[in-house]
Amino acid sequence: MILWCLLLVTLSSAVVAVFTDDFRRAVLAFWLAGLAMGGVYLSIGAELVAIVQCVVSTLAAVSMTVYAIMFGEYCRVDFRTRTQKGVAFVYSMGIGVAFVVLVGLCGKKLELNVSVSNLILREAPGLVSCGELILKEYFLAFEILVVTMFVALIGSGGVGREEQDK
Amino acid sequence: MIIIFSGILGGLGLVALIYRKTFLGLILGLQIFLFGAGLMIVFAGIIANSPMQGFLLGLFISLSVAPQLVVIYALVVRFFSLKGQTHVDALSSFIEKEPE
Repeated sequence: MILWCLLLVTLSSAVVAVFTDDFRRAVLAFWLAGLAMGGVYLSIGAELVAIVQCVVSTLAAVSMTVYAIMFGEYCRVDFRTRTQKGVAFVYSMGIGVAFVVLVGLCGKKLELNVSVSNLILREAPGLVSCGELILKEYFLAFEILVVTMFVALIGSGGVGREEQDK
Repeated sequence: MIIIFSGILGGLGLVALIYRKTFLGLILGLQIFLFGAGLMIVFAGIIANSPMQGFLLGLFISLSVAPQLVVIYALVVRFFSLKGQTHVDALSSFIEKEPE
């Protein structure tokens, strides 16, 4: 029941975040969706993923708010006309529905469609076993991720820097 | 059912990527898309009787959001300093017109 409630909160918040014109509401709805996703992970026993999800979505919401204020997007309404918005809505919804149908067909083919009650683990793996698995089997993947984050940090500093010769 | 739910979440992210016309809106859509992807991976791991692998891949997907955000923000800052706006349509002004 709790899992269903959290899933519904996630979905409704995501809908609000996608379709609202006010960027403030969009960011708040996005944050709520991220936290609800963390709750979903927590309720199925994925504690580490839940913690990371909550931290990352909070950081993303805060940074989006800061950058929206900086760029003047925070209080600006949509500049498009009603017709342009309608066309964009129909076009994007078509692609989104096609994506959902594709995922549903793949899930049916791979026999992934099970009920929610089967997903709640009776004996969920703890943080210690997660850490051990990362260190023993997936250390290279973890190192690659860390190096990628480091390179992205340095590279974005270079990209965002203003040119000195002008 | 649950995979469909993840698909709907990912589809909403895709809708936001197309529907919104500012870079911050695109970031928001990308995040929601990755929410759906992470949820699908974690649930697929549980269904396939290897929850640990699903959790770890979901963890990697959640962590990979951070460098994406950093890079996109850097590009948006650069774009804003050049054009003074963050609309995606303004990207077309970078295309050089051929001399007649």
